[in-house]
Amino acid sequence: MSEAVAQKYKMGKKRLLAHPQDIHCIAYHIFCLIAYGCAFWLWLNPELAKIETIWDRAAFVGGAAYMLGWISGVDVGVNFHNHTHRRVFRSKNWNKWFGRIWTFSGGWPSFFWNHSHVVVHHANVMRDNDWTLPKKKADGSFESIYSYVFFHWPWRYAVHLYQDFTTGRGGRHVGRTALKELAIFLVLWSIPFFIDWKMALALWVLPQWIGNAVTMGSGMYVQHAGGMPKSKDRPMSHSTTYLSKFFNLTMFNIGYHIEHHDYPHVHWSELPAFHEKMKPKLIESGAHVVPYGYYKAAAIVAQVSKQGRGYDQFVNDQAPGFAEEPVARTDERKAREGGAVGAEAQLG
Amino acid sequence: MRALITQTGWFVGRSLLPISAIVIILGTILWGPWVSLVLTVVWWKVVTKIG
Repeated sequence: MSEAVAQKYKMGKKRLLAHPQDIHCIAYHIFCLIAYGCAFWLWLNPELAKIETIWDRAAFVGGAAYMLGWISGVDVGVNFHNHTHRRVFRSKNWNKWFGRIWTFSGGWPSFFWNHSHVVVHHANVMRDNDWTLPKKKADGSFESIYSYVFFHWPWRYAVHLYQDFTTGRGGRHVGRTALKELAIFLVLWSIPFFIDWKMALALWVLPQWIGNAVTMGSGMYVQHAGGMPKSKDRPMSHSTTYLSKFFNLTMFNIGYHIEHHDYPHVHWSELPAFHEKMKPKLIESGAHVVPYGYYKAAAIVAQVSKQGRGYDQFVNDQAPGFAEEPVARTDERKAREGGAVGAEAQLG
Repeated sequence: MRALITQTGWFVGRSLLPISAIVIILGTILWGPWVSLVLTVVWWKVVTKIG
């Protein structure tokens, strides 16, 4: 072995992160924990923050809980999500323990989220056994975003996770592992309750509901609304790709969702370049690509007016330069009109 | 120097949301809880518009 190679190997052994860009993932999570710490500190020292009346406290909780929920939803649903596909550390133990500390502030045992996302969602996207997604109507379109946000997390998640872990979906010892991970999670998650239980409800449980139901729920909804299971004829109609630069900068490029589902091991920082390579394929296959991000998409699908559902508007939107009429929405429209293609689409 | 500025830009950009959360929460010390609540709503509206 030459000296240069030996030196490189030695340096590689010392490197903590699997990819240099993963430092941003670590920083994001640490900032989230600092934000929780700041909110707790001000709750416990209200005189510092000019919180004098019960209404002042309500205003503080309203603002802080919403901000904490927003960033927690992204921290688990996007940031930890990257870690489930490509571990950020080189050490197995670091990955396991940082993962546990990563998701408890988002209201999840890391093993449970990993199971929901990798075993259930990624392996079966848009199929009937992908219970992480909204329920589908007879025409193939999703239930309303409001139903999904209010009824899915934690209620449907709890039922499905229980069923999966008691029937061995995900491996032989999945139930035993789930119990062990749940116990570790509960120890970490209960810490704020020992400090002040009212604070824990207002600045821990409430933000976690906002993070999971509102932030992550609406994100999951718009990632796949108007889509259908992957098939030979429709290889890229399972998801939507979002091109907003601001969105992708602040959301670890999660907008490149078709690319991510088809190639989950491409590092999140390399997805914009990968998108450019895949562009001809996206155009050819009639993929659904929109010029904005999830936030705007969620606002569109949440609209209900006499002119029609925002959902219809969303599935008809398309970024300039991509297929004028994506395959998925053509089929969905035909299904609504009673065409045979719709029935075929249902069968996937 | 240019590389440092670029790296800092990426760092702040990637963590813009949690940094803004810390600023809004800690800012309560300066401007009180009602202004923080208004800033949260305004920031959410801005992000919904551009993202």
